[in-house]
Amino acid sequence: MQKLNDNFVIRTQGLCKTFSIGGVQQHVLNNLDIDIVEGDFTVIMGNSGSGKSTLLYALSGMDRPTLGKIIFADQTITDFSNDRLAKFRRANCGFIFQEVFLNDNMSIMDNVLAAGYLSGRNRKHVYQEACESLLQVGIGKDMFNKFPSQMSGGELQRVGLVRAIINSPKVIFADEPTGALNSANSVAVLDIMNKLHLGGKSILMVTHDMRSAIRGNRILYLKDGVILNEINLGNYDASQEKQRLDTLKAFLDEMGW
Amino acid sequence: MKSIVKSHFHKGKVGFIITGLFIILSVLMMIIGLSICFGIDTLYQKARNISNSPDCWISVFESPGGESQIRIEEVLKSTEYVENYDLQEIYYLEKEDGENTDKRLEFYTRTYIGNMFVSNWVALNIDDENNAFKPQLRDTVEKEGYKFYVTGNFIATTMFSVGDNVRTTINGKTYKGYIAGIYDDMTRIYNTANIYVSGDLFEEIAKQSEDDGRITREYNFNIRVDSKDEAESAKLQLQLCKELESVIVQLNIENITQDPTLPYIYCNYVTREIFTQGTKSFILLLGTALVAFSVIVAIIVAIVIGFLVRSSVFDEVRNLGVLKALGYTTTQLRLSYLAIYGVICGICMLIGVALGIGLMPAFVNVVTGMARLDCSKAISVNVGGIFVAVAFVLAVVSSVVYLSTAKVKSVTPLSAMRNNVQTHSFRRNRAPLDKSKININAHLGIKSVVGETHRSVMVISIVLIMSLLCSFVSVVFYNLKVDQTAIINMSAMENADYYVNFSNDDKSPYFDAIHNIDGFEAEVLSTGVGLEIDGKYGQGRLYENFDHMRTKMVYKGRYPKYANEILIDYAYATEKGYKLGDSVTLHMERDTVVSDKSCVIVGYFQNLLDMCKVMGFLEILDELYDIPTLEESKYVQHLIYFEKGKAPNLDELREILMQVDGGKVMFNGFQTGEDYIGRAFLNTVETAADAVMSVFFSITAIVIALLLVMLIKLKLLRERRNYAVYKALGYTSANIMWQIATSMLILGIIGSIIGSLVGALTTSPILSLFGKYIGAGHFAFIIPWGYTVCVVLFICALICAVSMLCAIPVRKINPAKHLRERG
Repeated sequence: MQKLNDNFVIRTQGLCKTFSIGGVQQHVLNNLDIDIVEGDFTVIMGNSGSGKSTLLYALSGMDRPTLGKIIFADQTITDFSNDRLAKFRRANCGFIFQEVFLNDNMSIMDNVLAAGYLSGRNRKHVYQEACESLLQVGIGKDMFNKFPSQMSGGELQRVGLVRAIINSPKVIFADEPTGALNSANSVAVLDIMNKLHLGGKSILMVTHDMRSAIRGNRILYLKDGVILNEINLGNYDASQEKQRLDTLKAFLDEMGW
Repeated sequence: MKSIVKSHFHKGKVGFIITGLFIILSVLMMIIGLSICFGIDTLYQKARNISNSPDCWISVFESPGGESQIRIEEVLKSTEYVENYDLQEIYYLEKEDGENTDKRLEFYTRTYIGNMFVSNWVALNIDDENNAFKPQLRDTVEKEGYKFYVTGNFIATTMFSVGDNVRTTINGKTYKGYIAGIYDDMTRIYNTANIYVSGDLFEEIAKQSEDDGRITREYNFNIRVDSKDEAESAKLQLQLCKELESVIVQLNIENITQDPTLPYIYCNYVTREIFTQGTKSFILLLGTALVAFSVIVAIIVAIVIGFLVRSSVFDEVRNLGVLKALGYTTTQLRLSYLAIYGVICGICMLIGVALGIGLMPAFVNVVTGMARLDCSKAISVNVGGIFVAVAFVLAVVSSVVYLSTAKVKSVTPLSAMRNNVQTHSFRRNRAPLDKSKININAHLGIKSVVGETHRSVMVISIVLIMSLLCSFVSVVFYNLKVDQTAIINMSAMENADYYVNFSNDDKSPYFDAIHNIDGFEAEVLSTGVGLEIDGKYGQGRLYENFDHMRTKMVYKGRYPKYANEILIDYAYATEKGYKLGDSVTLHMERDTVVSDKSCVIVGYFQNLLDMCKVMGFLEILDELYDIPTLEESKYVQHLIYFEKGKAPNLDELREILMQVDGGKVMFNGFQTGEDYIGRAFLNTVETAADAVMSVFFSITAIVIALLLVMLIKLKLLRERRNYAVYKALGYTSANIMWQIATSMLILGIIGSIIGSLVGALTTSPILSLFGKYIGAGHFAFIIPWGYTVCVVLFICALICAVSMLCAIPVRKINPAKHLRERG
């Protein structure tokens, strides 16, 4: 069903993921062949339990598929050991989670640097980059040494975003990044993501939220472990937001959402 | 409420198990320690009954059936406190003199490398049906030949084992046999010359004695006195022996008056107090050490419980707030924690008590084994000890739990809903990463140390306590086993190069030969003497002079300079209130001569074994013997000193003496200073040092390992989501394991360095504090800094290894799985 693209950053071949719950086999991903194109803001949508997050975690190398192959940045990561996968993620993946998952015992800056220093780049440069990125997303210098418990959800998600991009990953993976945010904070976070996309970053986002989904240029619909269909909305333009929403709504209606 | 209990149990499972183990350990050790301390007096009585030992014996150098035997029996029959006695026929076998080619008793090692033991010895008949005090035999073996049974001390102080071959040559005839077992007799506990033999050999010896003048048929009365009180029993034993001795003295006077040609009758007596004196201090010390260790473990329990409860209150703040909103009071919530730990404590204390009762015989076996005796049932568990141990641990646990839940008071429904986040937080970002120049994993380890202060303080405290103990024990071990200078100084025993005496009529050629050896420095006479000091029996050691003393015995005052000056045992002086400059009266008796002498105390010496209460000049004995007579006496030891590094070895010196007068030398005593001290004292402390060292290091390893297991398990449980995020970000399992190990190692380094330093520096003051009660109030132990460093390295290596092992489950953390768990 999916079109193969030579400009892919991630390609799956026959990807399957099966969970065993109470002795019952549950096939969450079924023989998936999919390309994530470099520079795309790809959004995966689907009902609860359709396997969106499972697919995201499998593609990012955080989880292992039961069967199939994942080629990421020209490397077959399904053959990697856990340690090699970790090192691979270090260089190629950035993550944004719904609950942010910052370490409560570390300051905002330390949370970002804990990821940034892993790359082995010059620490001074990493620090400067972290400062700049935090300022760009609206986190003032006075907040750098604050702890997560002292900040709002929106601020935390912006810090999470900076942490995701600090190592200039090939792909940013976002799992419901606005799921726990109010609308103003959601917009702010999505605006940043769009900026990153326009700057050339590949983003793969899982969401339920249509307002979030229209930020992507390619929407994939997942149902029962297979990509049922996809739609290309083109790059996000705030002035065409209503149009994009209608198109997406029609697509989702068609998918039975 | 149930949810708090449930969650606390779930999160603290490992913590509970470890706390429980510590509670068991604490209760167990306190019960055993207190039972040993409380039961020390009954130990000797019970050990006596179990080993079937007499309380005292008197050997008389006269054939059985003689006048002395009749008179002694009369006294024994008429003395009401004599419970029981028997009469034993014994043979004294004098070793072959002259050219030393015919060994009276030879012990051959299993490899038959040559004779190792030649001595005068006393043969006792193990098959004597009339012996009411036939000793308890153990470790017995059966093989072809005559049987020889020796004391535990014989085995411990020689290189022989049960089963080794033995032969004795009597009147030209050689009898071959083997060491068939060990006999326990408290009055002969330090004896290596009293050897029980099988009846067939005993009969042979009896037969040969008719033709061999070097075998003397004598008799021996084994006696028990009727007293259950150990102190009273000791007093009665001595009183009786002295009375029996006076019977012999009186008989000798009568004999000399009536018929001067009659042979002089000698006697020799030993009371069970020789065993009591030699072991009481060490057994009490061991009991006290167990109690002290139990208190330390209880402190660890308190620290761990404090940490667990505080962590739980912190984790459960939201639930606690909800419960408060529902109407639960602070006291009710605090009581719920008390109930949890009350149940755990109760169960563990029951196990501890059961184990204490069960393991008591094994511990007592160790205790009595150190004293060369095998009496595992000599001390039973003390009921008072059980109550004290249970009450103590219960008090510690309940007060710690109650105090640690103080934070519950400040939890309000509102603060709980905010997850206890304060609106005004003054929390500082310690060890920020932007200042870091070290490895990121090491830095995250450091952040974990400074970020979790409660945990860090707990680990440092426990590691500090354990390394303090290890360092303390290392210092003790070094001074007891490796460099014994300090302990020798406290033994009140001089460490001359050789202790020599000869039986030859003319001893001068032998001493002349010694004087002519290159490097000879001095010869000093010394003898031990029984005496009474202001009415109390004691022992004295007298020296010709104190000019060459190598053992620094005096720790307060000075060595005597004049004949009427003495040194006195510090513990005894403290007990009696004697001060430097005070005069005491020494009452001495030897054979028929009695003398009183007033002496001035000029210094204190320490005496761990309570073997000697007074030291002074030989002139003190002037009124009993004049010095030339004394020089001739077989009781006198000649202490031989050589210049440093010039002393010949034992074989060289023997060779020199054998060459004098055609090899007719007859040794009455011939041993090195080390042997002299070692046989009586150092062997015991070395055994104790080995045991204490291995016990303490093992316990330290167990405690630290358990602590780390608990903390790391808890950490992995609490931080699994952070670790999952780390993994998502690209940290490998090894990276995270290093972070954990680094954080623990940092705490371990801090704790172990402080603990080891404090332990090394406080060993002597602490021992002095406790030592006062056992006669040693001034310990000046050498601090082996190398050992202290080794303690730090040992603990750090242990922490590193255990942390890495405990952190292995990090590998199982699957980021996808853990990050999908919402909430």
